[in-house]
Amino acid sequence: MTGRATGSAPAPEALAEAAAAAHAPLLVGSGLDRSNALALLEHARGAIVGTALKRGGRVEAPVDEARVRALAELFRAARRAR
Amino acid sequence: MLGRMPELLSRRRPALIGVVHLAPLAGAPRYRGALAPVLAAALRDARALVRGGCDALILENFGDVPFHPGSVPPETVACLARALEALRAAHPRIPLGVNVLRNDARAALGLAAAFELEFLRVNVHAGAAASDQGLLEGRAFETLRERARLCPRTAIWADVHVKHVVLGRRSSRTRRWPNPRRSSPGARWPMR
Repeated sequence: MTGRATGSAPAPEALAEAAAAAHAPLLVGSGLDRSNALALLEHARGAIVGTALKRGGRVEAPVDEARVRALAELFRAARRAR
Repeated sequence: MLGRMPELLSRRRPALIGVVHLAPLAGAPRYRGALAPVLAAALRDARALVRGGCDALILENFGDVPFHPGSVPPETVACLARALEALRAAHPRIPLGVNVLRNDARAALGLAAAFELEFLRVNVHAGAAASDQGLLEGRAFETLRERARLCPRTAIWADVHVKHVVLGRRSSRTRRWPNPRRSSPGARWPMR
């Protein structure tokens, strides 16, 4: 499930509604970043992340390994919370 | 999402799927005339994603704007194949998928068959959506039949509510989700 554009997140309540209606695992398809990851991941099996992992959060920039590591850390925290 | 669920999504922790955005490929208006730097950049991004801790990678022909609303041309599939080959060789144990933008599930299935991809993403699988590329039409009828024939182990990740589209009369301003009793996830018409 996506927000309205590349880099924009779906609303957590829309995600929850879709998760309840879906007969399959749900992924966040856009806009997940460090600020909203834990809220969004409450309703999803994971996320497809592009922009937030780029240097400066700019979609045209190269991937920034430090940003990946920071987000992966949050995902591991989410695992313990589930 | 629908279809076969890879082990990736069955773990107790959420999966982080990193996107490898390809620079413009041969045939695209912004193509710079050589594929080698495009592949090198993709490999650098993939390496950072894997080393940083991503659980899977998905490849997109992101630079090929403006996108074809239907089938992509053969040169796009050929370039994507070169990139997938490079990614598989560099990261043989990482689950890999593709999204052939803007909505070519049939091309993605061909690539999935050739590279035994774990998953593919399709932005409009069911229903239809008006986008900046024009009308995107879901081809679930074809995609599911062809998957059965070509790559039954590949999962199809279908967007529920894809970005960059206006969905009929759906009230995107209020961000209201269509009534789930009237439209299954992925179905976009009718939109009242």
